[in-house]
Amino acid sequence: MKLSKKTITLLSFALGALLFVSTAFADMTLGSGYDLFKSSVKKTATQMEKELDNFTLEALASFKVNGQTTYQMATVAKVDNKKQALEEKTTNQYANGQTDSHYLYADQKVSIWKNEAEDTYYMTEYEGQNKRENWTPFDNPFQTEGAPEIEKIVDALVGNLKDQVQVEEQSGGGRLFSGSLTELQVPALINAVSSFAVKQMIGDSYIRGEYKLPRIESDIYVKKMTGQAVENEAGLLEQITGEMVLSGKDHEGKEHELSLDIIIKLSDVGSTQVAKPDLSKAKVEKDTSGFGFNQKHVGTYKNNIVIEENGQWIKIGERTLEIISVEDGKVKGRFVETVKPEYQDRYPEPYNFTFESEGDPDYPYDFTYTNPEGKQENGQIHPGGIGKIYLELNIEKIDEHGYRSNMNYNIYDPELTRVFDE
Amino acid sequence: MLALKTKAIEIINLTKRYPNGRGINDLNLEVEQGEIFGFLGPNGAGKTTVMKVMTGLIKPDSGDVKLFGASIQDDYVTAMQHVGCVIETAESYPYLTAYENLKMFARYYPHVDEKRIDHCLETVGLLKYKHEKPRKFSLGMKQRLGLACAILSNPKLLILDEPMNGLDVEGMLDMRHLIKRLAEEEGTTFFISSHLIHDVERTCTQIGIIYNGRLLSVKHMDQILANYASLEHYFVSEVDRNGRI
Amino acid sequence: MGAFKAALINEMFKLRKKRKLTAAAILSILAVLVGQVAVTGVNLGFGLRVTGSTEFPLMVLTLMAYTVLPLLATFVAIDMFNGELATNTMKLTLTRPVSRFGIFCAKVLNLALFIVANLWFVMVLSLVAGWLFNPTSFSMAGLFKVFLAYTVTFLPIFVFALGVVLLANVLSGGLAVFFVSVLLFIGFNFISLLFSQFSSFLVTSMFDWYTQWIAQPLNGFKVLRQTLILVGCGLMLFTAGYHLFDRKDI
Repeated sequence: MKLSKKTITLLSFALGALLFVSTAFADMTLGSGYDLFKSSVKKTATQMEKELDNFTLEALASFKVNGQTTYQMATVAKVDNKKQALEEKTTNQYANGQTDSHYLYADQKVSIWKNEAEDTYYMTEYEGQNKRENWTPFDNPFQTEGAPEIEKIVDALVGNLKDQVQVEEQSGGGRLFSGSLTELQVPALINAVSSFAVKQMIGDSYIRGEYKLPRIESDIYVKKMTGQAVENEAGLLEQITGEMVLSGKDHEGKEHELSLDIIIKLSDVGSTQVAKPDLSKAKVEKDTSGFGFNQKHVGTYKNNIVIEENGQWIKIGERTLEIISVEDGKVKGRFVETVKPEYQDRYPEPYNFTFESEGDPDYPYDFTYTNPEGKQENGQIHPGGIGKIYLELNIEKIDEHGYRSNMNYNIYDPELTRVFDE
Repeated sequence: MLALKTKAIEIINLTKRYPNGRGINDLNLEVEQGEIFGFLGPNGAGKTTVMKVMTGLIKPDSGDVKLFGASIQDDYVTAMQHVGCVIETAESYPYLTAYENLKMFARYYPHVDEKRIDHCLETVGLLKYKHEKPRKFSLGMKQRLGLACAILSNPKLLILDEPMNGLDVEGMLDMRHLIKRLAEEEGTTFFISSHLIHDVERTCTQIGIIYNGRLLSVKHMDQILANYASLEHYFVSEVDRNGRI
Repeated sequence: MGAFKAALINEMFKLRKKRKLTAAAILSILAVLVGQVAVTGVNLGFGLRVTGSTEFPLMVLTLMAYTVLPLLATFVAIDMFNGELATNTMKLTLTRPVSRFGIFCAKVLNLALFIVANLWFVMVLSLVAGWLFNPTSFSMAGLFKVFLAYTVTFLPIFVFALGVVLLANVLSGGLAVFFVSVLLFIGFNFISLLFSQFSSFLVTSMFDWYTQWIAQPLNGFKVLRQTLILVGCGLMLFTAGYHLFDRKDI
């Protein structure tokens, strides 16, 4: 059978189209090892935030110079999502053999912090008005603000290296991800950026001393990058390891090799115990700073109303803030301005109001009050330095956490100082 | 014996319409080998279109052209094997020398050698410009170069679109002699379009008149001259007769 | 076959005589030189070794694959089709005893040879430059990888050039073809950057597919997939381009 030219043309086009569309479609659906790895990471992060009852996360980072470890950091974090609690211990080991480590326990009500070298526990309580009900022991990094944008940028940077991530299905379920880049494959941009970062770090003589780094001056480049990740049957990443080797020459032309190893391990899912340390016999120091109010704030605060006249400062009156009570996160108070009669024309109508304020301990407390003209205005109150309180008046809300005060700060002073009865 | 020879040109029911309504309509024509066929017609009658279809530059809407029995559509390579042509304008590669231009053509014909190239250049009187680029050539010289390219392979059929264009008197005489000589010595068939009616009268052996995309008549020159005072009279009367219809 | 050979030699001859090759060579040398100056400058100024002697050719390849190489291929493709139509010289080629398929193949093969020649030329240049200026690392294995990388880069650029050939047979103006090609090129790159999941369909995102070929271990299945995509796309473009070229009235 002799095919006509038209038929051959059509067949050839159809064959090309079929080959192109089907393979491209398959390629798209299959995705790259990188895509699979990314979705595995995301899945694990989501589970760690919500679905797993508890787990232990370990991270180990070590930095080597010419094969000798000069810095090592190890963190073990135990997370209990049911109790909403976290225990974390971090140990740093430096080139001179010195180590330091600290311990942290945190839940919604309290966070306890201790430096291993000392025997004092530092504690911050989040009770009453200081409650932090939205606090979680583990935040999914993919849910944070700006994460999708960063993800896009990383995707673009990774580009055609996506397929350098090899995927191996394990016999018992789960997968093994691995990837390695030799100096030939490391993209020039990544090479330049990471080399530059290392160069900047080494350029700092303090850091150089701390980590026993050679003074590398030229020919810095990324020699090798490798990575591995193990996914278990449940689809959770159990272990991620990564290594990056850089090479460079010092001023004598001697070549040095710097390497950074990172291991992250997820373990003891379902069997991790998070325990609040027993502080009954320990030395504890409570930290009560922050925006929150408590009983210590109850009292009277004052400052002077001052004007400048003939090159002199003159006191023309007083502001008095009385914190009447702090109960269940509610602050009740009264604010009065008194101006000497002879200066009344030099100062606007003085304030005189009571208020009741409620708020989030991480932010200033809001309240409304009635100004001398009888209009409702917004005010804010928050603790200042020791023995001081800030009272901002005539506040305009710009957005969720953006404010602007319309007060004239040439005559109004928001800082009030505690008056003690002696 | 002569009757058994395949026709040099067979045009069968050829139709090609352009969007503007012009073109050629159901054209039929046969040209025997050895004829010098003069293709006459006013501007826009469809002469160039016919020649472009004959050389495969344009695909017809319907119908076919056979050159030495081979279809231009189905067996282009065989059909064009013994054909030389200059269509519409005599073009050449301006960035190649005259010699290189001929060399480009020579590559398709194994029997064409350096001697043949020189011979063709000599024939058209361009041998001394062999290594010059046609960029600087006059219209007549470009025409001669185009002709040299056309005759290079010793074709059995030469399709020439207005070959006298741009030639001076001497050149026209040369051209006429060349055509006659090739026809006599080599038995080359010619298919020539021209508007120079006197020249056609002196050169061609057979005349076809095309008007408005249709072939009005095909007659041998001796027949024409037997009935009319000159080719011009014949042409005018034919066009006139059809123009009235 | 003899006629096809003649057509191919003619195409190559025209390309050479039009000094397109000289222009391509000068542009390529310039690009390699600029790359080398940049690399040396960065090492002297910042102390960073952006590339070693064998990575330098690969860096140059990545840069060239997205700039000079497709640009030159586009120029040549446009010149072979639109250029010859504009100067009325196309009919000189077409009225020879050779089929339009033969001519189309000769032109496309000429384009392919041009791309290969350009790639290898750049490879030799950058190898020499890399060897002269960064003699720190030089290995036979690296050399082979460089050769492999440059050679396989031919396919995606050739397929892109086939796309330009198709366009050259759709649009009559060479300038229009050029601008549409550039726009498509930029558009494709933009899409594959923003919507990387569609990059499987975009030939331009495979311009640096050599990274797959020199990867260790080699992801054979992926390389096969990409090869099939490129071959399928190329076949489609070639057929469509030929179809239009064959029907063209000159």
